[in-house]
Amino acid sequence: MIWLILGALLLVVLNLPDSLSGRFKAALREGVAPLQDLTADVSRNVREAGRSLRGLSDAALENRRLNAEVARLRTEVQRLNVFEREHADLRRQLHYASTRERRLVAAEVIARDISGWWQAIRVNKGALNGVRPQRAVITSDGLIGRTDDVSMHTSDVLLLSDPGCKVSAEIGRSGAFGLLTGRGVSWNGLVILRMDFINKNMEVRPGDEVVTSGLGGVYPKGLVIGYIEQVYRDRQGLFQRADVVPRADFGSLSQVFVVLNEQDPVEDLYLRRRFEEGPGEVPEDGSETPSADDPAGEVSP
Amino acid sequence: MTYAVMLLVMTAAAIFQALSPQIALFGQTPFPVLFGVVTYYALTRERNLLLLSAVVAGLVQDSLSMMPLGYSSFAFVAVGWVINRIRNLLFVRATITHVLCGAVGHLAVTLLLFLLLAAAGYTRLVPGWVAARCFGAICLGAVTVPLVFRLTAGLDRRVGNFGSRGGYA
Repeated sequence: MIWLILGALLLVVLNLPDSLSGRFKAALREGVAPLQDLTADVSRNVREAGRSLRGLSDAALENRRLNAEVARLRTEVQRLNVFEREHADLRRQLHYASTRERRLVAAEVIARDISGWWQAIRVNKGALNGVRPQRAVITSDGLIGRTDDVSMHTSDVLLLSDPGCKVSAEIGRSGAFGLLTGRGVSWNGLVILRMDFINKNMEVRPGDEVVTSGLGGVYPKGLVIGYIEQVYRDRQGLFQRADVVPRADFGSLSQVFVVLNEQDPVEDLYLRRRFEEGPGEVPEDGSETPSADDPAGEVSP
Repeated sequence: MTYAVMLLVMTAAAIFQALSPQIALFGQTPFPVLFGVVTYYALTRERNLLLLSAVVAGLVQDSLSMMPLGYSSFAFVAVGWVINRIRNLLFVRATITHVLCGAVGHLAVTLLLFLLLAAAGYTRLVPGWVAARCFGAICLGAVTVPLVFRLTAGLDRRVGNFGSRGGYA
């Protein structure tokens, strides 16, 4: 009898509508998230302590190397500032709409996909912080994926290395477009990305930078993905394809940033109410508004 | 006390499984800690408790991953039921039993999940990757399930759910 009941229950669960199963999953995730956050913190501290002990002897050498790198980067920034001013002038002259700075939500990685069937991670920011599904996720090195399932305090991020994650990409130097797909992880742990449907007449060289094209509406234009490693002609000879090495290190993800869209509603609603009702007034529907100091855990680039 | 131990063990198993490394050589198969808990209850407890543990472990695994809800529960119940049926033929407390149940059981769970996901369009048949996952399922199941069995049995004994020499209900 118990087996019949259980069989019926399983059939119901397997055929639940997405909204119901989504709510159940979100509730369970929210319950476990604080423990995952705590465990991730502890393991991060232990790793840092180990790294510090191992690195004490190399600290002075590393310090010198980093000082040199800082000096080089400062010079580069000054050079790029000149280009930025020139670029802004040219855009004004051509009457283009000004591009707004991207709004980012900083988040920490608290877990990986527990089943191993997806290349995915979980971060500790969710809808309450302004995160929405189908938003690009980046690190300081480059694009790593997109948000998929978002609950109140956590979000699942599908990584670029997953075959289900496809990105419309562009080669920076030649402007050639293509479709970037994850191919999982190789035997030695390297992430494999493949860019397909590149126009066969466009020149593509190893070392060329690959960025997002902005097509498709999910990934903003210009996010760095990686570099071309090898170029092939496909069997029919109609297109080229290329292996792409991602710039971000997928093996040591700890701090990531979710790129918000300009029209994301939480921020707009908050700003509208602040200006219309004045600070300190409770909105008519009694809903919570983010604090004035840190609206949604956002950082400015 | 039995249910309290089950809840505690499931929570710890979920956290450890999420934190465990996913080795590329094994097709990124995770360490089957939750399945180890189900195997423990399948070998040592009556059917009702096995069913409860399999369903709960499956729901926990699905909720903490991108898997559709119910898939892991189905796989855990199916494999757990088979183990529970044949346990009278096995030396339940012997490590070799745990190793074999872990290896073969986790392989069966992996293949069942792959069939369900492929049928629903969530994954594709890539022979090399599937072979790596099967190899990983066998190796990791053989290593993880005996450890989880010992830890859970030890916890049960400490809280008084079993007699000092074991035996099962």
